Amino acid sequence: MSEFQELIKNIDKCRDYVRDFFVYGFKSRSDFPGKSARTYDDERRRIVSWLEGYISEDLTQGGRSKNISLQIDQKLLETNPLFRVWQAASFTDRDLILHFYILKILEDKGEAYSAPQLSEILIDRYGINADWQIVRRKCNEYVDEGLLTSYKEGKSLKYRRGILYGELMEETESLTDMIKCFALDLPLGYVGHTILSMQDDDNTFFGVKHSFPTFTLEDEILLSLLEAIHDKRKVKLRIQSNRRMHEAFDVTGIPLQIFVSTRTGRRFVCLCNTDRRSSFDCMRLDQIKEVKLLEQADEQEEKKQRAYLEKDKEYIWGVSFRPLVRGKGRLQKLILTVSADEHTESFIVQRLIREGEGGSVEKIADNTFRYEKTVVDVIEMFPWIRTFTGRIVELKIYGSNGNTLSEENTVLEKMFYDDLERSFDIYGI
Amino acid sequence: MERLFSEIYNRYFSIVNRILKTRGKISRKLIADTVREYGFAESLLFMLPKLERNEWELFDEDKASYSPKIKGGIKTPLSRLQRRWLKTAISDPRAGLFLDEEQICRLRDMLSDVRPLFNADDLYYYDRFRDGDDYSDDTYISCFREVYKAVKGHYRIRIEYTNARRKRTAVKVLPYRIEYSVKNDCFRVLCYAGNKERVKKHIMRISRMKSAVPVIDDTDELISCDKEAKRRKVTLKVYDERNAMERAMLQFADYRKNTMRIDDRTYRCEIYYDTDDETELLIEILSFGPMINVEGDERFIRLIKERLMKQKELLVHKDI
Repeated sequence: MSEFQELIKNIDKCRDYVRDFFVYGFKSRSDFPGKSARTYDDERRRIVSWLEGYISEDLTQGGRSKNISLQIDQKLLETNPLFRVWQAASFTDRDLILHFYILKILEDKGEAYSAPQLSEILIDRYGINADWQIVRRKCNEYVDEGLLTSYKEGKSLKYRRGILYGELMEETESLTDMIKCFALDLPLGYVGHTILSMQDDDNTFFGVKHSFPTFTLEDEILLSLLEAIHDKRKVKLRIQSNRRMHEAFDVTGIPLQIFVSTRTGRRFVCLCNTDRRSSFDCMRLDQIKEVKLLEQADEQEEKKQRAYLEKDKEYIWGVSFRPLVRGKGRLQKLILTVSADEHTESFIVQRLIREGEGGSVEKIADNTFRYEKTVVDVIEMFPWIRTFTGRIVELKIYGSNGNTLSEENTVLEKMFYDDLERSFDIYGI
Repeated sequence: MERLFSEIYNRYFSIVNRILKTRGKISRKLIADTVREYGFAESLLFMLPKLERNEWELFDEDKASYSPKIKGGIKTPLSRLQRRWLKTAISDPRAGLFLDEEQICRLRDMLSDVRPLFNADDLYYYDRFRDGDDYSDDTYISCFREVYKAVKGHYRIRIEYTNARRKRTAVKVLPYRIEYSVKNDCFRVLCYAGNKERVKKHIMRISRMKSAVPVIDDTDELISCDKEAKRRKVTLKVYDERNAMERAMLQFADYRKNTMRIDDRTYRCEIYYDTDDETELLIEILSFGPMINVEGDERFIRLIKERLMKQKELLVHKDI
């Protein structure tokens, strides 16, 4: 049985544990069926080690075990502690030795050596014994990473270092400030964070709100999807729900765009499903376990789907497209009437305008306003509508032509009002 | 294909570099202190022996101290992934707040051999508010820069701004943090006003500022107080209907929380929040309808009840 190690080779397994601990919070050993007690203990120990100073441990009800959760405070607003998960990649002793010595030898701009030359310098200058083929392999790895560049000189392949951060500009202070700010909210912000780490720098002036720390756990998935979007390649996604209630399944399609929610803590890839060719699907990034890049999509087809997507977006509230097919299909019109004092509560009208995703807002009587929006799936709007609880005068759902009250729409209205009644009951109102 | 999970960004590598950058001879204590300060909690156990036994051949063999073979550490070149991220960053509409056009052009030039990691239209923030800040506005840029300089330089500035009632007013403040909201797509400045006896915290949107200038000959003592806002706790009971438990856990993932399972369908969740965020949290909780029931504290229950009572009244009138 292997010993516990702080660093790991593969992040996939660990990513699920981190998510389970920090998103759900209540999961304990018994919630990880199929995993040995030792695996669970090791994963938990590693995560506690990586995130020291950012986690709190609270006794569960009954006091039998401890939950761990992220300590969200002002500190967290300045960084994302989950970036640390990415800094735990394991390496061999040889990896570390070659990293430092090769980059030191090539430090001077313009200095270029072949692998056999580097191997000689390593022994002569530093007493490091490294076969030139091993040196070549490491140099080629670093060419792939972009740390080194290579060029042919006669028959030999020579290596020299890539650009340093300090060479980008004469004065990098403003650029560093920008990175400090953007690393907090820009997708793949961890990459910005690595630039700061290499300068031994850190952010203390900027904060971010409405950014979800756990997003970073999906960043490698996001990276693959962005590459596929850029290269217009089809992908095959392996999907499994986080609660693992269903078997994993595959979805194939052309990825077109990443949908990001700033409120619900979810990101999705919007995919044109090439199997069904009927509609768009939005798959949650945190449920994608694997992205396989497939062949190039037909350029005309990709372009056409992109145009359909833009058209369909007009009727999408969140991420639900069905049963909309290329701008056609059953639509529902939601009309919300709210009460707000027009002199002292204009912020309510402002909320309808700025949060209402382009829905129309008009004053229909003193202190009464009507919001109207046609969408494909009104249920997606309910959580937002409920944020106006205390001001809702009426909610009506019609067919898209504005006057058909179908049975389904009546059911939806009833569902909305029944939910309100249940809330009244819960609080004894 | 670029890799995020690569040893070149490993924490151990950056600790080694910190040690190598140390001038002169390196003591065992310094190595241990550096690992303790910058490593993971258990790095002392795994990393320190490697360094002490010189398994990474970083030091000349000398029993009295550790003399690094590599003087001054190394400067790691930017990886392709890092350059690509930078190229994306300089295309962000907010880049102009930090860099002028000439600097952006130079950077674009320096990064001409890589393509950006993504373009703005690869991402669609579907529920972002539609009244985000205008980052190209000259007044906005100038105020942002003045405020930022004051935050870094820790000095007071005089801000002229339009308040919530649309009245123009001015205030002397000590800004200490600039906060970006992804949802609102706006910057806010957190600052203190007042004096030693009475410190008042302000949160101001940069877009409301008309001017920001340093206070000349500022002789007042600089005020400071605990940056932490007041914390409160709300206890929720989450009924797992319509996938509410998972939705709640994700939606509240940016709050500190402690969740317990009561039974297969019910969970109790304690959320800790800053008082500044109370209204926002309140409406987030309301958005779950009957799937979430607030159990405490009394104050928060009262806030929920007030809204529900008003709602009931409106429905009663409608029925009449």
